[in-house]
Amino acid sequence: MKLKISRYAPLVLGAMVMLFPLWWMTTISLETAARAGAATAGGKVTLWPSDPQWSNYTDALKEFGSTPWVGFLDALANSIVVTVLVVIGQVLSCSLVGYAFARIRFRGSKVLFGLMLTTMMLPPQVTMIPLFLFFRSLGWVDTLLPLVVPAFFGNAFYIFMFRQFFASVPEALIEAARIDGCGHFRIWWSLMLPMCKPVIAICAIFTFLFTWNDFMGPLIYLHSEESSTLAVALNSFRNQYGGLDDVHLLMAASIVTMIPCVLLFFSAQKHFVEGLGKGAVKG
Amino acid sequence: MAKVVLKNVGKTYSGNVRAASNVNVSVADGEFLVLVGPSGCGKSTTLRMVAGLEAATDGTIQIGERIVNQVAPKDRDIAMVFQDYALYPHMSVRRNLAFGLERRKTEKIEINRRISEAATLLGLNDLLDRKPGALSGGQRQRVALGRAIVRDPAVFLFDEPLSNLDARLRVEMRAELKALHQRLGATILYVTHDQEEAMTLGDRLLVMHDGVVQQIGTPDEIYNHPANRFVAGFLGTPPMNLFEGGVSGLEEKEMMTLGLRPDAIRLTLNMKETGPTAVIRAVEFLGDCSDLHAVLECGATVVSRVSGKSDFKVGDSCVITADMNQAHWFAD
Repeated sequence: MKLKISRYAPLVLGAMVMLFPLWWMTTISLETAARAGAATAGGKVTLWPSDPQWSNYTDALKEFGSTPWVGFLDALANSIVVTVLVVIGQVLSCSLVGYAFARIRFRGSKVLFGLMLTTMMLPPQVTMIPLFLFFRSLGWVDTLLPLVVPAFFGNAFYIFMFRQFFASVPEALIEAARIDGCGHFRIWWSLMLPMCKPVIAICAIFTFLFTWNDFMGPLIYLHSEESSTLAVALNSFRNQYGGLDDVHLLMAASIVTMIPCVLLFFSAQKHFVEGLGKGAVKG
Repeated sequence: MAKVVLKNVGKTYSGNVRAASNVNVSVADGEFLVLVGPSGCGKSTTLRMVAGLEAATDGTIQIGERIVNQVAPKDRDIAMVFQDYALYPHMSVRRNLAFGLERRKTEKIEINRRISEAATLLGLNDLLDRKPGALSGGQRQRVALGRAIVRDPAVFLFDEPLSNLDARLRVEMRAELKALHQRLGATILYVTHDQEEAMTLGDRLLVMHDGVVQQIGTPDEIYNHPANRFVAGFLGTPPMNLFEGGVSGLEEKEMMTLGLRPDAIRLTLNMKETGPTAVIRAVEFLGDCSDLHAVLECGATVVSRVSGKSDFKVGDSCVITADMNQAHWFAD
């Protein structure tokens, strides 16, 4: 019994620390404007609002952008389009490149692989300005293209993960496929992709989370209200001086924005944990 | 079905490592040829060159009337069965069987006909909708066989297909393979390091060592007339006793090797008989026969096989006699 308490106590404590921001957001999102403002200014926060204002949620979604509802729906649609395309692009390109590095012997493959890995060391801030200039010269600024197209050119970390998986597939399987009449492209599509579902899940889940929550990319490339994503659109709750008038609405909008990530986490929890383990041990 | 002809076939890997050299063999239409030899002797490399999975660096490979050196594996009209089955893990048995045919754009009706034919032949009918992961080793091997059979290829290539099975299943599958060969009348090239498998399955054996063909012949020829010391020592359990020494009576005193199979050697406790004496070191009872290991005065070990249970005990002194009609002489 004692052992159980000593084991669970730190876990409960840790969970409370992690859940605190979520509880805080939820409580504030249900307060009246006055009480929410007072709470954020250092006032008392109650465990649960005495009079929950559920209408805050509809108000918040209406207040996205300048036209009621349209701003929210635009941002939601943009976020979905960008995220889905980026996930597809990332899975296809990373697995294809990973397959090539794992299974095709060609001159300079090791050098290229090393070169690709070094791109992991580059902080994104370094490439931000050159990339912006590049996309501007293509006329892609204020379109979704700069956010989506790069995903179709792979990501060093996921390529590495796919490569490690493909390298562990027995050679005989590929030889059997060659005798069955498959070329590399067919082997990748019909054999390797269906076999590496766990890796695809990890790549897709992490890419989804990163893209859905990405603030910097859309902020740099998307200028007009119609093209912004949810993460950026939340910013419209700030007033012209950068302060917050309606913190309760911002919290309500933030929670709505968060819902897909929370749902994804619960439905794919197994893959998350597996994925982190995989990354640590096997890559 | 088709014949297979290898002419001076060789394989040199980068770094000048020779895996096989000068392999010459002609496999007749419908013949079962077993390539046998110890690990690393080049038998698998030779088979893989026929499959097109490795490019031959020398010589020509002919399947049917075609030289296939430059032909891709899929166009060689072959089917291969791998040691670890190489079944597609995410596909059902049915899809595994159909996959190669679908790639060849075979008609759906024809695919189904061939699958049901092969499934009936191999007893796979109840397993068609299962994934390979849910099958036992023997069943997986049957599916791998089925995948080769549905292709109806000119030549079947087997790369140690039974070595992952347990001993009993291996014997069962061996008999099935033999029956299957007779039924299909297929040309088969079969690689194994297991001499028993080689002897029981092959119409002819090709014995390899260090990348070089040592002897090609029927199991009877290879067993009773081994071409050299290697073949003599490799085939047969327990292996042939080999004694090296100078032979007097010849014009020039020459070093020769005398080979005697264990059943050609007799040990007797009657010390009055003439012959070298030895001491029994081990007695192995195998049920229908016993193997006696004896050490000669010079330190050499002799193995004798006698039928039934032996009365010898470890430490007994005995006299060795041999049936010299069964002696093999090797000059190398």
